[in-house]
Amino acid sequence: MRKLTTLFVAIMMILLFTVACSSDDGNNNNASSSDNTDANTENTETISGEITIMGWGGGNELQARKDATDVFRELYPDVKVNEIWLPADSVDQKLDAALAAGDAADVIMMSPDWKGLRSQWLEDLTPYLERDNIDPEEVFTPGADEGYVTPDGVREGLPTTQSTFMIAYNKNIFDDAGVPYPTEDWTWDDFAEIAKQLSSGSGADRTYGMVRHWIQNRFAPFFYGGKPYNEDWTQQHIDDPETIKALELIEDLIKAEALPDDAASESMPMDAMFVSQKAAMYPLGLFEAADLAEKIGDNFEWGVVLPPKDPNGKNVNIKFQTGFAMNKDSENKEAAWAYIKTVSMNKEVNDLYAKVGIPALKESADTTFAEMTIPNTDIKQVEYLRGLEDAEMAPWGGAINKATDIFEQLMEEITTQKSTAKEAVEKYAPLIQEALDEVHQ
Amino acid sequence: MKEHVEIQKQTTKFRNKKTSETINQIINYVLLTVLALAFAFPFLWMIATALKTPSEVYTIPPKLIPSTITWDNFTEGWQYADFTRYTWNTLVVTTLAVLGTVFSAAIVAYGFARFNSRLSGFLFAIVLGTMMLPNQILLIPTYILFSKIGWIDTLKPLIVPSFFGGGAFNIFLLRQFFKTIPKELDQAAIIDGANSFQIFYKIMLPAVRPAMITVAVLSIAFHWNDFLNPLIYLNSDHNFTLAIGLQFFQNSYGSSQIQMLMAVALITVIPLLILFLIGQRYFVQGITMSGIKG
Repeated sequence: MRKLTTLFVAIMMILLFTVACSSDDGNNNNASSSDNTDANTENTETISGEITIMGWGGGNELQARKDATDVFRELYPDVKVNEIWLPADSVDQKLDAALAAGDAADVIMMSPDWKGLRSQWLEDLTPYLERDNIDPEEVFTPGADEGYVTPDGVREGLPTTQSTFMIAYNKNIFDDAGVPYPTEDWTWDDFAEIAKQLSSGSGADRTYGMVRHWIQNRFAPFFYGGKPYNEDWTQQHIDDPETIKALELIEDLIKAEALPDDAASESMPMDAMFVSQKAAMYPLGLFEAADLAEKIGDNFEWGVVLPPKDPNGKNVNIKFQTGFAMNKDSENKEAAWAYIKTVSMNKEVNDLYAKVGIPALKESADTTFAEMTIPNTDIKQVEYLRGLEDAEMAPWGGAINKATDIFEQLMEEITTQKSTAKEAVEKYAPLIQEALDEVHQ
Repeated sequence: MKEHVEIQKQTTKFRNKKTSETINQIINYVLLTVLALAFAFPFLWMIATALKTPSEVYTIPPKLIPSTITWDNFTEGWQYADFTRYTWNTLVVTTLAVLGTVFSAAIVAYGFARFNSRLSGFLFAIVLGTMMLPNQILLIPTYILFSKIGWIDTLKPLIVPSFFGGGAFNIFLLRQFFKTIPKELDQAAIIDGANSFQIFYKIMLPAVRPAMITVAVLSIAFHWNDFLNPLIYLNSDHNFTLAIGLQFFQNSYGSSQIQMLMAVALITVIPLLILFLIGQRYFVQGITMSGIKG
């Protein structure tokens, strides 16, 4: 027992030693200088002090963010940058805790559909842009800078990277079914017809026309020119005839087993379904294009095409955007602004981003990004750029989480065939309206 | 003659019994083997995936044995992030937090098991009541507390709280175990001149070793795999633990490098497996004797 006591005392001493020696320097935002937003021009020599930045991601995407921060360090050697890079999961919980404690990072990674938007947490960046004579329309890739300004004119962030979708298709399955490859002038009716023609087999041997990807629910309201709600989130449009028609298309494809039903779609990951040739088409986001190409390897021939057009002749697409915002409580706003400006508009940084997404800077998107191919393929990335300008912002999530949940319930009623599209819309559209009303209260 | 018939009957009965026992045993073994394989399958799949090339991970029909075995997932996966540092941090946190949990839970449990007052029942109910509070509810207040005392982005919030009670479940488990030890032992020690603390560490602790090992194993598994607390309290890459590191294999949109994830997860789960194999005898004994079942 004496040994046990000795061990316990020893461990306590180690603990105290560890505690005493641990560094506490990770979270101090002691701005030593320039908290002056009235400075007329950017001067890297006058900006100093310390800032903390917070973002998330994994793999190459995260590495690009870290490399971008190194570029900032070279440009602003007097600014000490503390980096918080987290896995994408559960970031909200950490941010909520940090904001509540008043020690959130000076610069926060965000998306226009993120819940921080339209909140009181973020600094309005408009005065900074005006002071530095920056015209976003001239600088940014068309479509990249959408959604960062609230309806009342507050700019809550600047863009860095974007991603759109293409429809990847398995050429072998098309060839076997004798169906010509899709071209970019196809419509959603063409898509439905093709998906049905490509579907064959039954049970575990069923090959589906298209996988059931999580993005499809986001695409659905736009198939026939509809939309889920108006621009200022005050009125839902789920019960518009165009939107109902789009939801009926999903209903029809599930009934025809051209899309897997709930049981089949839960049997394996959807990228696995495409890679293992159990589905002919897959909505391929740029963010996963390289991974998917690696997984396919030499297993089969494949290509990509823009998603089908709506009746107005517009290829329906969804974009996912990532930018950076400034914490209103930052103690070093000049350095924070310098960081945001660098990671959003610096050419070297945007060339780094070109490896993981569509860069915000038009110059980089049109040159570096446009010339690249999806790794291990000869498919040019420029196809994704073409989809960006007309792409809709990811319509659900973030600040309208409650409406999102209700829309997902609506889609589940359709995909599980509990209700027809019309019945589901009748049931859930008023609830979505209530949820949107709550956002404005 | 009569005796001969009786012996024959007995022999037949014995043979029948033996045959039926053998059949029972075969059925038991078959059943156990099938169940063992079913439970082991996810682990076997993890090993197989860790050895596959990316293009073979999702082939249909799935292959348990890869056609091309690659070890690159282990090396590339380990280099994908600073897993050596994450492992060290996880070891530090787990070791210290487990020691804190085991000793402090034992002291509190001993108090509840041996010292009675009018408030004992009430206090114990409060302790058990803390088990009902989801961790998420405590996150913001505890974050604010640790932030005010400058502990954010250090390993302290993951270690120090373990030295203050060790958790309601562990206290409950140890208290149940202490209660099974006859009070006569305490009384004999008192006659020999021992005080309460001497009784605790000289008599009670050695007697509850299986329960302490049970608490230790449960605590190791918790701290080794804990994701939420390190995510909330740690900021710097050099402070991260393995549970956070493994999440970096997934990008913002949910796509992951699953073959590397499996390879590194396999490496990180091995210490836990070894520990469980060593401690399982005590672990089962501790669970059984404290009367707590899963």
